[in-house]
Amino acid sequence: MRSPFVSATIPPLRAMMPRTAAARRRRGAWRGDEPPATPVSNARIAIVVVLAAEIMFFAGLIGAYLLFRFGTVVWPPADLPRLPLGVTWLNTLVLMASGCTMLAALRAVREDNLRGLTRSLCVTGLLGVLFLSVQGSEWVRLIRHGLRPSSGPYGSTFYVLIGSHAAHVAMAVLWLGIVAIGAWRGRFSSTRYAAVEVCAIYWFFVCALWLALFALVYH
Amino acid sequence: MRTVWNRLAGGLIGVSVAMAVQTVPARVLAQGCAMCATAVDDANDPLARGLNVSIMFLLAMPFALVGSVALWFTYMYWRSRLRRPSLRVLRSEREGVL
Repeated sequence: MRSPFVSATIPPLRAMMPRTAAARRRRGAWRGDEPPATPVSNARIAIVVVLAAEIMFFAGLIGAYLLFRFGTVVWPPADLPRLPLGVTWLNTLVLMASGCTMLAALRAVREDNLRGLTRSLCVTGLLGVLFLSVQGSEWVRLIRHGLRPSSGPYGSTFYVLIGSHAAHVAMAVLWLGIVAIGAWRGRFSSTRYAAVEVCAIYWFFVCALWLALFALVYH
Repeated sequence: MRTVWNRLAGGLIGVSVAMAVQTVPARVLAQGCAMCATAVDDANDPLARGLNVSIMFLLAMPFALVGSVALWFTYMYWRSRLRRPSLRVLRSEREGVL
């Protein structure tokens, strides 16, 4: 007799294991426009693994930031410039707007609206570029005012955390561009859009991560 | 019968180990590495507070992550189970069985 633990864990895991095409045919599932036999597609499992690695990477950086922030009596140091809150709030709104346009892109591909998909992806990419440009200009201003990566733990943790996020946004914009080219060439449809979905999940992750970093570093 | 004795023996070993751990003073169990223990001996030290917050955060993150993924997988599994019968009905309707 199987233990309750095995009964509760093994069948769901077995059902989610990636199966071969032959196994899918034997099970009589996913012919044409029907959903796949597995509840979670391989693409989704792949992006979850990537995101788990990314989350642990940022957890390490945030752990270092927390150590310096709570380990210092005066934070931020009195002799260093304050971070620009107003512009960053606007920039946050820009990134959140890009999340909304990404949602519109997902809706468009699910409705087989390829023109709408291309347009939404381009708008999302442009908003991402705008976010990066504002970040870059703010960095230049901060460096001119004396906040450098070498200005102690405050400067180094700020530039490493926000810089890592900016690098991820830049990579996501590049990825968006590739997906947008695919959409423009008509490579996606309402039954075949895994690339758009994974890209969207990554973009939502980048947006959510920014909210956490903004609340942590700028306040 | 033998299985019952095996389980009993396993349980006894588990209880013995738990009791043995209880005899160790809490102060001994709560030691970090030698460097951390000597560097931040005072609990009121800001660096000790920072280390505590950072360690607690890094301790919680893997559990939160794995827990979230497990919850999501379970949710997807149960949702797909709920959807299956309706799909079968739809397929039957399309093929003219119903």
